Amino acid sequence: MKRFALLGLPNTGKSTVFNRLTGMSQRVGNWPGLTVELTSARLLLGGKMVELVDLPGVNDLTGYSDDEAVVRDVLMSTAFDAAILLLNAAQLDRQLPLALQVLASGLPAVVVLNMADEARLLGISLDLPLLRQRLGVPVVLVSAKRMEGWPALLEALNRQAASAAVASHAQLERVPETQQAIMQARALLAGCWRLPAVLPAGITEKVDAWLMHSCWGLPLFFACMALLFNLTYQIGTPLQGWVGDGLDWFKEAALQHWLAPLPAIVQSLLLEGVWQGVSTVLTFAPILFVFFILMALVEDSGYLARAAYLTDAFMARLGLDGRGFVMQLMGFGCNVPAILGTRVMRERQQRLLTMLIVPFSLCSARLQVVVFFAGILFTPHQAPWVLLLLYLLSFVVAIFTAWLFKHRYRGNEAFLLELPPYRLPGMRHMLIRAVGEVRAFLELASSFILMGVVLVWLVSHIPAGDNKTLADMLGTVLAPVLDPIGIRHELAVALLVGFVAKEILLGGLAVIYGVPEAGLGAALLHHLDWASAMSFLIFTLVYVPCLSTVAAIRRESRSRSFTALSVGWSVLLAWLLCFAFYQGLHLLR
Amino acid sequence: MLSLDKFPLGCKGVVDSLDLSDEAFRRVAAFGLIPGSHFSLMRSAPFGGPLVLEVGSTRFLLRRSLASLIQVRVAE
Repeated sequence: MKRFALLGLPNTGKSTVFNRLTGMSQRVGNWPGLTVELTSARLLLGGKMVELVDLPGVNDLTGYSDDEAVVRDVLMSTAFDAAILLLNAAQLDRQLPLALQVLASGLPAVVVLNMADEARLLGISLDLPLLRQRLGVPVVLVSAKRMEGWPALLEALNRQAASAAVASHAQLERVPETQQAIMQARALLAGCWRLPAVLPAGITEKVDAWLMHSCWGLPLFFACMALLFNLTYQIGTPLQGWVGDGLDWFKEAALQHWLAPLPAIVQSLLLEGVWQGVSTVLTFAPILFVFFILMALVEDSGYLARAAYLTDAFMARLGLDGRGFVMQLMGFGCNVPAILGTRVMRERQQRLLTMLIVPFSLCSARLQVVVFFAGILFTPHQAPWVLLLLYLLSFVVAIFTAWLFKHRYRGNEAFLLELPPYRLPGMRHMLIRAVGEVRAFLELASSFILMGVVLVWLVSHIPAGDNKTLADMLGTVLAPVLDPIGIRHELAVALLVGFVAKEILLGGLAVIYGVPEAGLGAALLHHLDWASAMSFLIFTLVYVPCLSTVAAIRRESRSRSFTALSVGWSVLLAWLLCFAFYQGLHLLR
Repeated sequence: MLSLDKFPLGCKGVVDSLDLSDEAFRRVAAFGLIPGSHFSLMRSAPFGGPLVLEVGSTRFLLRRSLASLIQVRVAE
């Protein structure tokens, strides 16, 4: 089988071209021998099966950013039959140097100039035959969005695939340095590519006059975020509810009957352990799908870069970039997609720092718990203010965490971000991307989540003498840490349940006090005093949001120690806050 | 000659020199900012936020901390 690499700078429409060429057949997988995940797909070109590998967008082959290292590693470790070099036809002045570096490495290449439509609108003059002659490789001009120039592209790819040459490794030692490549590109473009002296003002300038305005920009940003957020949950939550109902129905109508002949303990393991895990994973799918569609809209339209511009002054002080703020806000709906969404940040340190603070966003599942507790602990007049205070607390905790860890995860000072012209994202492209993201999450996170759920089931079912289970023992064992923060021993199990998902925490509490969920408020008031209930609530807010978030962090960071740090830090911080609250209250009394 | 963070908003300029590490230079060069290149300063975010530059048909934002290391002059 032949193997082609798809290479280009960020924002050149690489994934659109990839999707156009391969459709739904793509898959995300670990690259053999390297700890990176790449998207690849098989397609038929020139009568041969070709594996097309989508490499991360890079500016330069000699640089040391994370993505540049990945591209170099892949090119060094793997033989390719050809590189498809994607360049923005309107920005050849800064994009051709990369092409020259790749050509110098000796890989056979097809140069694809994308965004022909935008180049035309800008009035750019291009002598394609002359460029082809100077580069000495096939060059085609396309607009991937409009499928313009597609037959010529396919013809060039077919011819490349039909060639009898054997695959070769890129000779990276022959790649010219940045400055040298820029000079070569400049000489090469003289006389065959030219920008007009004055660029025509387009719609982008008019929109930016509002969206990047020094007064209106930020309010409009928050309005956009509120809209995005509401759309995600207005559409996603009912879908999530239906999936949940459907799974419950299946459990009650079919699963329980099928499992009835089995011994009670096995039934419990399968229903409350395994099935609970399966449902937890599956109910995330709709919200992730909606989130990724909307995020693709924000990113591909070009707005995300504007959001970064508006919030960067504040975020830079926390060691983050403006895009982290968008993820932090999205986390207020659900932390899982927000963690996966940090992928827009290409620098690892920045991503890790953002992933560390996202779990403190008070998500909708925790909101349920907060609303319930606020309702029983405060008067109807006080409750909304308490809620507001807890939202503020989650922001403060996130800011404090970023401030504390910003030196450990120091990002590169040289932060530059392209502000692409506003573009209308393609519907098909967004759908393919969302389906791919959801599938990848389900494949990689499901085993982790399932394992966690079964583990918690085991802890709460393995007998430990005296008619008690390991979970009951937990409270006693943890007494030295629970007592100073005023959390009663029996609630250790509730915290363990809450670790799996906050959605099932209230149900867990009802089981602990042996009451139906409707009577839970009265039972809690009876068993807990005000201070200890508040302490439990604060702990619930700050510690690990849920197992799925942990799975997402594990998948995105590819690091067990980082995942452990994230979990450990949130538990420690929760404990410290509860300690300060509970002991402070005691001193005041 | 003045540093880019002090450059007048809305004006066109030419890059004189960049006092950057190799890695930072590569990043900046990838957006077309190299000695001799022409740019225009389109916007500047409030509260010490980033600047928006245009080089050729490429627009991008860069932080003031980085801009202060780039020496430029106003284009005639």
